[in-house]
Amino acid sequence: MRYLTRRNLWDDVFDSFFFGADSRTDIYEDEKGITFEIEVPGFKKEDINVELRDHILTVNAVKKEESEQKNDAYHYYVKGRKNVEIRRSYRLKNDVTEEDIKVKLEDGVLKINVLKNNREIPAPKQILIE
Amino acid sequence: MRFESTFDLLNKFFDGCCIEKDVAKTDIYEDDQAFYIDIEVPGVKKEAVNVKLDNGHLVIDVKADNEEAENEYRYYEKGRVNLIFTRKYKLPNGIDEGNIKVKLEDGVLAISISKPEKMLPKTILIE
Repeated sequence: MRYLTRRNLWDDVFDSFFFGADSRTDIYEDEKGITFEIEVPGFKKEDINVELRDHILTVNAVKKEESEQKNDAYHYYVKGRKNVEIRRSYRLKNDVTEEDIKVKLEDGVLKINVLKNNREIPAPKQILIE
Repeated sequence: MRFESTFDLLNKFFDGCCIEKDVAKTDIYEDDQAFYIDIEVPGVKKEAVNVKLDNGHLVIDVKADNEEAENEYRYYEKGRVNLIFTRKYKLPNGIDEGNIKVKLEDGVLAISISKPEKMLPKTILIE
């Protein structure tokens, strides 16, 4: 089922690829644009980097203090949390610029709004054969 | 629903039941001073969480229901789930609500339970 939706997504709007832990994500669209909600529990604002380059939106989250802080003084009974690095990329439509993107971090959820714009897409330019 | 035996490890201090491991990832650990339970609950607000001490058991209730929002949207991917679960941990004797601190920050519910005096490590003097 996942593949199906991914597939449609490719046809439609963007590609996506993933690295590291697969944190739970919602991607949905309404009349205002497309929203990505990526779960990043325990990550601080400083740990997260969102960038747009060559139409590819990349989210990169690395917990900086985690490994140093949870040191030998702790004895673990259960270690179920493991997301120390989250990296995901999505291909956006060519006319999206960084001005169309709003990012918010709230309660461990990274919310990225990609607003629809009404920019004119330049008509393809005909190249003459010499 | 899955029943896990992970908590056999904890016979010494904790009993747990009805753990749905995949719903909310959890760390449980201790140091000399306290026990700690960290549960990932991304997107959950304070009002949706209820932690209480009931007859020697720590009961954690999370009820974050988000259904109404979903209908207006066209989904490309729906990986997030509504977090609704109850967890119960048996605590060592001698712990009352004064020992328990609960914090919700960045989508992580962090509970620390300071150890009662009799559980603290004692240094024995060499005569």
